[in-house]
Amino acid sequence: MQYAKLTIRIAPFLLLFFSLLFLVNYVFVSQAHAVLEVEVKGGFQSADPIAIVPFLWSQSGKAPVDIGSIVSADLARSGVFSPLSINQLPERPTLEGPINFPRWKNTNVENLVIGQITAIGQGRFEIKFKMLDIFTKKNSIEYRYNVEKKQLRRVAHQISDQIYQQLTDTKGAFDTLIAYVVVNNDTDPKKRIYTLAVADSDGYAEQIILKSKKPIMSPVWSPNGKRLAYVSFEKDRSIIYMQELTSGKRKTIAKFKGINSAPVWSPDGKRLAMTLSKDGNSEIYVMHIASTVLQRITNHYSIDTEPAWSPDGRSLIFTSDRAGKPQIYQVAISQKGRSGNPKRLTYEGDYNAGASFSPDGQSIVLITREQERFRVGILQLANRQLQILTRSRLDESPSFAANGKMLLYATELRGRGILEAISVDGSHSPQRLRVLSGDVREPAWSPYRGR
Amino acid sequence: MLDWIKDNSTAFAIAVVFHLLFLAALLVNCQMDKPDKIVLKQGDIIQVSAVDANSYDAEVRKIEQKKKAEQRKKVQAKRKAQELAKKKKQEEIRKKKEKQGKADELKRKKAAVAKKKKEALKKAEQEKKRKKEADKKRQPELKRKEQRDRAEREIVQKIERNWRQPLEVPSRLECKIEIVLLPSGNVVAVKVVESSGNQAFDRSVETAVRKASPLPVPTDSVIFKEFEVMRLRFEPGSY
Amino acid sequence: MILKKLLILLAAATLAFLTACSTISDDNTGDASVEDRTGDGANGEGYEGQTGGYNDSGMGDSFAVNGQSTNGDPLADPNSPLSIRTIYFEYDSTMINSEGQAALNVHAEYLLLNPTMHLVIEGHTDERGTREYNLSLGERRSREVGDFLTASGVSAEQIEVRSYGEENPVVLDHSEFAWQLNRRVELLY
Repeated sequence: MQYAKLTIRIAPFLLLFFSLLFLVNYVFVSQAHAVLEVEVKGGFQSADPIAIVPFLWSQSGKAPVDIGSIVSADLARSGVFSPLSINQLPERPTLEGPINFPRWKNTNVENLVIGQITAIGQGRFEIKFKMLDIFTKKNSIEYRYNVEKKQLRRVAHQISDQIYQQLTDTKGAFDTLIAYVVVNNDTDPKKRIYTLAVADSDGYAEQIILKSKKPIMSPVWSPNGKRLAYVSFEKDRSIIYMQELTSGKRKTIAKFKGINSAPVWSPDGKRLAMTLSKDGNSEIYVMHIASTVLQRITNHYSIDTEPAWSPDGRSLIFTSDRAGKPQIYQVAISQKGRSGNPKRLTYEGDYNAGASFSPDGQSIVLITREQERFRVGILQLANRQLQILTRSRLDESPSFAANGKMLLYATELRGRGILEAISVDGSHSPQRLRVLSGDVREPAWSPYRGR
Repeated sequence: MLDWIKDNSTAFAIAVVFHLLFLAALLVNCQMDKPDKIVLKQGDIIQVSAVDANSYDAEVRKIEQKKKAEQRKKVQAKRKAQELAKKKKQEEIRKKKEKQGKADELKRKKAAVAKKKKEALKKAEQEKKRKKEADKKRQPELKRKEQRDRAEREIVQKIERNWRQPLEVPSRLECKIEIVLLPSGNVVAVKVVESSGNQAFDRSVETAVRKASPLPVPTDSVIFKEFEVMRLRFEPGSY
Repeated sequence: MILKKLLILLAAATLAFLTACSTISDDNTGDASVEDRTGDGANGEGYEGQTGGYNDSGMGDSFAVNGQSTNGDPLADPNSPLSIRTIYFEYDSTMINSEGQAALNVHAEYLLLNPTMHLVIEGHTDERGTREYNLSLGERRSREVGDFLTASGVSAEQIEVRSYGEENPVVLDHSEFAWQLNRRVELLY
C-alpha cells in the first residue's frame, strides 16, 4: 500500500520521465522489440488541393503580371491539382508574416504557395516565392528570380514547373510553347485567313509566325525548339517549309511534284521524315537536312503517310491503308534508310491514323474511329492495349507534352475548333485551353525550353 | 538497467534533458499563453499521465492480489501433501493388520472403492476451481484483444479517410512508415522505413498520417504501449 | 428524292460559287492572292460576274461542243455540260459514280479538241479523319479523275493532279450534308 501511495504521488513525474525516455528512445534509437504492423490499403485518388496566395505587390498601381493566377491556372489545367479559388483562401499570408496553420488545416489544402513581386528599377523585377507543407510546416521550395518585365509570364510557368516537380516527382512542362494553326471561319473560302502561331503552353502570349490566304498545316517542332517545319499551300499546293523562330528566316524543304507534307524531325535533329507523292502516290521519305539527300522508306501503291520517329530514332511509325483501311505500321530505320519490312501495330478498329510516340517510347497516341467518332487513343506497345482518352466526335492532332504526362489535341466546341489538354492516363476530364478567336487546330507542343 | 543506459547513452541523456525541461515547464505551471501548439501537447501529456497513474495503481493492486493468491495456494498444497503422507502411513499399518484377517477383505475393498470415488470427486472439484481461475485471468485478455483490434481498425480507417493519393503515380506502389504516437493519439514522428521509390506517393502517405492525427488509440495505457510505435504498410487500393 | 434534288441544286449553286472563287491563274506560278478575282461579293446567281472573270483569263474563243455554238467561251456557258466541274464521292471512297463519269467524258472531249488547254484536278475530302491522311486521300481522288481522263485519250501533259485534303471545305458545317458536298474533286481550267 505504501508503494501505491508513493506511486500516486510521483506517478505523473515518474511516468512522464519513463514515457519520454521510451519515446525518445524510439525516435532516436531503432527499437529492438516487435512493432505493431498495420496495412493501409484504402485511400482515394483526387487532384492535389493546393493554395496559391496572390503574389504580394506593395508598390503603386497594379502588378505587371498576376503570377499567382497564372500558376494557379497552370496547375489546374494539368488536372493533377485543384487550386483553391481566391475567395476560398482563409487568409493571405506574406513571405515573412505568420501563418495560421489551424485555419489552413480546415481547408483540406496540403500545400501553400506564397510569393511576392517587386519592381527593383531599370525595368527589372524580383520575384520571390516559397511553398510549404501545411502539415509539417516546413518549406519545400524557396526561390528567387530577377528578370525583365517581358520574362514575367515565363517566370510564372517556371514556378508552376517547380511546384509540379516537387509534388509529383515529375518534371513539369508548363514552361514550354505550343504551335497551332488558326483560321478565321469565313464562309467565303476567299476571305479565310490562315495563321500559324506560337504561344505559351497556356495559350497566352501569342506570336504570329505566318499568315496566309491559303491553308497551313502540320506544324512540327525541331528537337531543339528553335525551328518549326510546316506545310503551306500558299503556292496552291502543299510545300514543306522550315522556319527559324527568332529570325523568321524560312527555307523551302520539299516542293516536289504532288504532295509534300507531314514533316517530322528525327530525334537527333539531323533528318526530316516526310510524305511525298513525287513517285506516284504518297510514300514516306527521310531527308538528310544538311545534304538534302532523300531516302525512300516505303514503296506501296496504297497511301503511306504521317511518319513519326521513335524516341531512339531507330524506327518510324506511319499510317498506311495497305490492308484496306488506315492502320499504323512500324518500320526500322538505319542511317542508310529502311532496314526491314514494315510490320503492323494496330488491329483494333478499322481506322487508326496520325500516330506518334510518347517521349518514353512505351506507347503511341493515335486517332481511332469508334462508331463514326474520331477519338484520341493511347496504345500501350507492351500489351497492345488501346485506351480511348477523349469523348468528342472529331478529335485530332494529339501532341505529347515534353514530360509525356499530358496531351494537347484539337476538338470542336459548338462547331468551332478549340484546343484541349488531357492527362495521358485519362484520370481527369479534358481541360480547355484559352479559347482564341477563330478555328484553332493542329496543336504541336514544344520540347523543353533551355533556360 | 545500467547496461541499458550505457547502451543508449544518447537516448538517456536526451531523455533526462527532456525530463528536466518538462519539469521546468510544469513548475512554471504552463500559464504562459503561447499561440504555439506545444502548450496543447503538454496538456495532453499531463492528462494522460494522470490516466496512466490510475491504471498503473490498479495494475499494482492486481499484482499484489495475484501474489497473495499464489501464496495461499502454496500453503494449501503443502497441507494436502502432509495429509496424503499421513494417510499412506495409516494404510500401510492397516494392511499389515489385515493380512491376518481375510474376513474383512470385502469391507476393505468397498472402502477402497469409496476412497477412490472420493478422490476422483476431489480432483474434479480442483479442476473446476483451476478452470475458473484461468477464465478469470483470460477474460481481461479477451477484452484487451478486442480493444486492440478495434483501435487498429479505427486507426486504419481514419488514415484511409485522410489518404489522398496523387493522380500521376504508377500503380502497384508500396510504402512502409513508422509513426510514434502520444497517448493522446497525436502523431509526433513519421519516418519512411521503406520508400515506394516515388516521392509524391511517399509524401501522400506521410501527409495522410499527419492529417489523420490525432489517431484513435486505445485509452487503456497497457494496450496503448503496443500502439506507441506503429509500422504502417501503404498500398493503393483498387478504384 | 426531294432531298436529293435539293442537294443537286445546292451542289450546282456551290459549284457556280466555287468556279467563281477558285479560278487558278493560268500562269502556273500559283499566285496566292486570288481574292480580287470575283470583284463583287459573288453570290450563287453571279454568272455575269463569273463570265467576266473567265473572259479575263483569256481563253481560246473558237470552240463548239455538242453542236452548241456560242459566240464566246464554252467554258463560260452555264448551259454547257462543261459547267459541271465538281465530281462528288462517297465517304472514304475514290470511285467515280456514273454522273461523274458522264461529266468527265465531256471534259475529256473538250481537252482532246483543245490540246493547249490545261486542267488542274483538285481533290478534297470531308473533315473526318486525320488531316495528312485526308491530304493523301484527296490526291487519290484527283488521281482517279486524272486517270479517267488520260484513259479517254487526254494527254498527261494537259492535266495536273493536286490535293487540298480537308483544308478547303465548301461548306463549313460539321454535318453529313456538309461532308457530302466537301468530298469532291474540282476541275479547274
